[in-house]
Amino acid sequence: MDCSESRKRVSGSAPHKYMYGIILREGKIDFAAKGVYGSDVYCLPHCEIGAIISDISDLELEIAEENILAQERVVEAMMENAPILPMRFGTIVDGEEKVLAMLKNYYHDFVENLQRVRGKVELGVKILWEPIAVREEIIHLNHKIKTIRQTLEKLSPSKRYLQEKLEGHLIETATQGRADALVTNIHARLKRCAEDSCLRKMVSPKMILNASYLVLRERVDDFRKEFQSVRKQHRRLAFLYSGPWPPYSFITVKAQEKILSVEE
Amino acid sequence: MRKMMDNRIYVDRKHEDDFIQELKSSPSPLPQKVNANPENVERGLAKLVLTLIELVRRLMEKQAIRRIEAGSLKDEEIERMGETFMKLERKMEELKREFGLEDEDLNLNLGPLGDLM
Repeated sequence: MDCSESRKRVSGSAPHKYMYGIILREGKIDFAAKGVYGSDVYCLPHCEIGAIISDISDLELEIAEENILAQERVVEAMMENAPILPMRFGTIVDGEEKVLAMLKNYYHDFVENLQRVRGKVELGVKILWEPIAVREEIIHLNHKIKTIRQTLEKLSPSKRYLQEKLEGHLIETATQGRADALVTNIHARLKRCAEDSCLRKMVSPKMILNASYLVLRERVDDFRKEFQSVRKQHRRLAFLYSGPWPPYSFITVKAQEKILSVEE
Repeated sequence: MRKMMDNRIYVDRKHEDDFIQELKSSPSPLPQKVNANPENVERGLAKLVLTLIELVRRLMEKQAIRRIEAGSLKDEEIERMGETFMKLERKMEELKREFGLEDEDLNLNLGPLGDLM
């Protein structure tokens, strides 16, 4: 596919390029979605990959809802027809030459990543629990913690200080253990429907899991069914399911961090 | 579950607010700007120094707690250590107040490794 006829570049007026993603140039690319600040979006090709970019006059983009949504809409429109590696919001490069240099320097990384995410979408799962209720239960059931509590009053201030710290440490260890067991069990079930996953446990006292799953499009329904089954089994937890999204969490290219310092 | 955002976010209605709260209070994934000016350089330095002291203090406390748990400390040792740690904690509170720092301020973000404490 030849990208040149799809270029609607306004040359000279806007030296910087806002980057939406790297695409595998197969199939028809949908350029209908407008980019940030309503700009036209186009593809800068290099072999079978291309950078989806638009012209921008500033080196910084306002973190505004309409810009975030514009970027997302562009990436998602393209995702329908070809694998795409979405860029982090706010990726601006100083000129077309630097974009091309990046495509050349990281060509193999990009191709490898594009092949890996082909036909797949990202699904997100977040789980909250009730830390106060869990803590009460742990204190109630744990013999060692109960014993420490009962003896605290009789101790000197100095000894009491350390015993309270010990009690806190035991509660924390038991809490972590319980969260870990829950998350391990749930993640194992959801992972079976995914090609890849990445997760963070105990993100906060309330959020015990924040996970992303890379799922084949044709298996999204299976994943959703498994998710519903998990949800029914754990009525005391709160679940948030999101997606499908472009595969933001599954890109293993370090290009993004180096973009703004790419030298020719 | 309630569907939001053109059918791509599913959450139980009763938990919507909880998730909004949690997501609002999580650190921003966008790059943060460093705000360096003469007024906050001193405070920034105090923050760094106190963060390191706090880290060491917590590590030492944890070590003491593990030894108490293992039963390897004598009674007088527990008494003495308890007094020292109590005083250290009080001193840290004093220093934080002096520099107008909160507990949350005494932490270092190590990028992909997460927060120090």
